[in-house]
Amino acid sequence: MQVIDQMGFDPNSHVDELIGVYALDALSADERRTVARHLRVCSRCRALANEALSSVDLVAHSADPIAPSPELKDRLLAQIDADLALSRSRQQPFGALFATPARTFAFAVTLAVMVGLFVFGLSLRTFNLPAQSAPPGAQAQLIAIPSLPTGLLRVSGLTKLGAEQTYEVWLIRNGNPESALMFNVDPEGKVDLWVNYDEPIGNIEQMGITIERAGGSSTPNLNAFVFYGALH
Amino acid sequence: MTTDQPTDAQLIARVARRDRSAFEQLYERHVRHVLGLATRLIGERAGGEEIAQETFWRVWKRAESFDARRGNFSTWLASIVHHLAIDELRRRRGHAIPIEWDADESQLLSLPDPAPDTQERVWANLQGAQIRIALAELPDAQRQVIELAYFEGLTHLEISERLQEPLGTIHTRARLGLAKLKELLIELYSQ
Repeated sequence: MQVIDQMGFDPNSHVDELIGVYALDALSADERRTVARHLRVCSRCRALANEALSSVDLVAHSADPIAPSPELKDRLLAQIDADLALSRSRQQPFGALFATPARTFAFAVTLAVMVGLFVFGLSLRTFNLPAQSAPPGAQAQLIAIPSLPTGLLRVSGLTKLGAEQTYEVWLIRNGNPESALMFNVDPEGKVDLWVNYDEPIGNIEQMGITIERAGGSSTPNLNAFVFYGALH
Repeated sequence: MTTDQPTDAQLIARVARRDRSAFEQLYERHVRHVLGLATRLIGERAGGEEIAQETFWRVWKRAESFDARRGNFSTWLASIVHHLAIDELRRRRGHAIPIEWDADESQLLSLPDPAPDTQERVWANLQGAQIRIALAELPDAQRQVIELAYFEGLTHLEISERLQEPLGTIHTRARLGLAKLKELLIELYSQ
């Protein structure tokens, strides 16, 4: 309101002289607020402002139309789909949405797929780990966006272990196995687990699941790989 | 526009209810003008696309704040483009004078539109080239102020300094120039 104050502007007086620069957005925020306050209560100045604003609208239409790139619409619709998905998720009970890693991951993946694929060029991948000594029909899948450090491990068809043993997940890079986590499956032989790595999942070269003594091992039992294979 | 096509007001009301297809229709109908204005203001295509994307995103997020009884959609849309672009231009110049979006938006919508009349119908059918001709016909001093304010995002103080003219002179030129623009368009195109 610096200029208006310097001019000795009285908020109750008409703003004829400022209408043009107001309509052209050439006032500071404070100055605009002062003029807008007056316009709310003065029909005379409001009519002048309407006239000026409709002229500014003509100035806006002096620009030639330009055809957009297809990517502009793709990006926008991806943003909107993500927003709609977020709204829908907010309508669900929090506990239901994040009740299991799979549901949490499904939610994250939905957003990632919709936003990431279009906006950031990310891609979701499923790595099927080859069975080694797993029961027939058993499966282990790592579902992940390779550039992110987290993925979902989905295991099915394994035998539930007794208290003296555990399944152990190994992430291998440059030939060095790192223990990622230990787990047991449910009575149906299934489990969904988060796998976290300190780098993007795509940097992992191989992945394996062994059976170890309860409490886990510092190195994998090479004779006990249930699943093992490359992540490429 | 044929009568079986929904109006902008109908579409934006549906967008306020989170209707994606209504949003797409509005986008297809207006994106060329939005991108044209944004690119003209920012001065380059990539920046124009960013402003256009943010404009339509705000349409999606703020559709419920649009009141068709108080103004037409294309004016609202142009004001969003302008506010975003001017903020960006001022930011690039190292200014800290952002236009306060919420205040401006509510301000514009609080001004009831005059009833459509013959002149309004003339405006609706004008093409960009015709408006540019009318702008070119304005007295240089008035056109300069309008262009510095609208297209370059200068404040009245900056225009006053740039042109070495008193502030009151800038105010008068802006006001008279905008009024004269309509007069010229009526003279040129209402026959």
